[in-house]
Amino acid sequence: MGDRVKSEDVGARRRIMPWAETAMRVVLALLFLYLFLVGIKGLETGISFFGSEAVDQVFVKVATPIAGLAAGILSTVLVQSSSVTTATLVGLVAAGVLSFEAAVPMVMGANIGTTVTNTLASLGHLRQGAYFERAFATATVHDYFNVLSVLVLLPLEVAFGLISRIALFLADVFDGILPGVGGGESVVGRAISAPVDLVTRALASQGWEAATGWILLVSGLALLFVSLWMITQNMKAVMSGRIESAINGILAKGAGTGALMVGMVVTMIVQSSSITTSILVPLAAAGVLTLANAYPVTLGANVGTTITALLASVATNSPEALAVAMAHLSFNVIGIFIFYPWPPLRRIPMRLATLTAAAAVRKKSYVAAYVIGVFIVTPLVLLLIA
Amino acid sequence: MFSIFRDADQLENVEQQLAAMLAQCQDAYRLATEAVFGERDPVSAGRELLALDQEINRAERAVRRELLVHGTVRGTEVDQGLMLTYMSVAKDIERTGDKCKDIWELAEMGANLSAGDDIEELLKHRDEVAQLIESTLEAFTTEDTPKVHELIASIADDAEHYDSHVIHFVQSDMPSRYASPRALFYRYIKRLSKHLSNILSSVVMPVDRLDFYKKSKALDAEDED
Repeated sequence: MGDRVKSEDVGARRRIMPWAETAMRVVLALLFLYLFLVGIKGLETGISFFGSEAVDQVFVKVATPIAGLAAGILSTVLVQSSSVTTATLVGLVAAGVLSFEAAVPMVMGANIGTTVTNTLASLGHLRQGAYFERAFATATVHDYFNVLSVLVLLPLEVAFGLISRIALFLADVFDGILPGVGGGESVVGRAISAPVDLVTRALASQGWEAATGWILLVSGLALLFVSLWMITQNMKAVMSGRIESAINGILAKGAGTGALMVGMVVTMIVQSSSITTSILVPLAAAGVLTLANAYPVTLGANVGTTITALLASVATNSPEALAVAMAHLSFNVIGIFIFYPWPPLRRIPMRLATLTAAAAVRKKSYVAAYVIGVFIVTPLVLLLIA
Repeated sequence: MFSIFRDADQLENVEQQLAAMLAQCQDAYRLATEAVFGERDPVSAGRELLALDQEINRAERAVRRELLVHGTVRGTEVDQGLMLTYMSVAKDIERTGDKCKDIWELAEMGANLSAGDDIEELLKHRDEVAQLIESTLEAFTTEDTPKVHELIASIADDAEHYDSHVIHFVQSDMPSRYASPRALFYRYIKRLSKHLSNILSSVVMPVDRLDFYKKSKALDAEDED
């Protein structure tokens, strides 16, 4: 048989298998969501085993907002996932290692750091100038939105505690409403704590009290990493058809609030803004998606990714941890209110991205300078200065 | 708003769009030949035909976009051979539509093929091609392999026959007003048939041999399976 017939076999599988595969993947995603929450709990419990000296050291390292911002950028660049960073921050705040106020600039940094993934994805189009220019502009518009939002909101946070106040207010509103958070011994809370308590008791019975903190910390982080990755992979597979439909809808109908909602919902489902924004890059490179259409999807992805920290806060029973998640949400929503509704402000990130892409096409060395400068050198310098 | 997240198999969507484009080519061919055989006013036929042609072009662009989105979202899961095949098929369908437009343009330029002694033969060939478009649509959508081989072989024979007509009119001493439109008509239906052959070859030929049909090669590919 020819290739077409071979392809038909694939098509037949597509038609016969979906319900069974979908069901299996959804169950797996739920299982890994549970393990993700267990990971957060393990992280929180593990940290609580370290003495106040270790806690003080962490506080000193991110004592200033600039240092926190830089640490947030660098740690997210390192793990290439703002979800991992913010979920870890939730765990740290819940454990009392990090104050809520110190976590807010780190959350902002995580927002900037996560944009490295689609910027790197755009480098795959370096071969062809016009393709690369469009891809790089679409990737860097995400960078510029986040950097500009930080430039506006971090000073307001430092001066007036703008984000913190809103986040604490929201956390207060939702305290006790979300399962686990502030709810004490809820069913969800008990289910999440049970494996961690079991491991803690098992380690104690073996006389390994000294190592318990480290074991819980490392296994909690590993669980967090692996489970987030598995949730993303499974949900992406389940949602591929719908994601395609949604993107085809954007291509047919254009930008706007609908595109923003698509970015948000897709990211909430796959638990990764990088997946959403990286899908946009090849489409923009090929010229079928304009920067103006990609921009709202990117903003939606920024909001959608905040779901991870909200979920993580469920595992903690800590209103302050919930406030960290709310800070992540507030920062992104306020950023959108600043840089999206009013066209002159909306055009700023897009114009900067276009200019950067044009410069990058003229001289390829600018690309390396930009990526290394924004994501490594600048945060390192800020960290040293702070 | 959330209806945008409807579940859909995007490749099936593309397959349906390709079939719809081919069905539009059927209508375009009917309009073009009605005009050139003096059965219909070329202006009104042209209006409908150009609208159809634009729809076919729009559909081709939509197919390309959807294939790109499919490839981007699915990543390594993508059936790349099928995607490349559909790109090629979309182009051949669009070219089929273009040939219909070329035939209509003969009428627009004042040609009327019904005025001549060869009207019976011209009408026979016109109907042959109309039937061929319909058979192609059916064989393509049902992936009827034996039918595809049969149709491709018949197109190859017809193409030779159409070529002999082209040569006859090009080399004849007939007035150009009589010979030129006939030479061009036979040339256009030959090209149109060849595009249909390319579309059909997508059912039986490997991607690298699309448009280069050889029955033995197609059978080799079947044996390898």
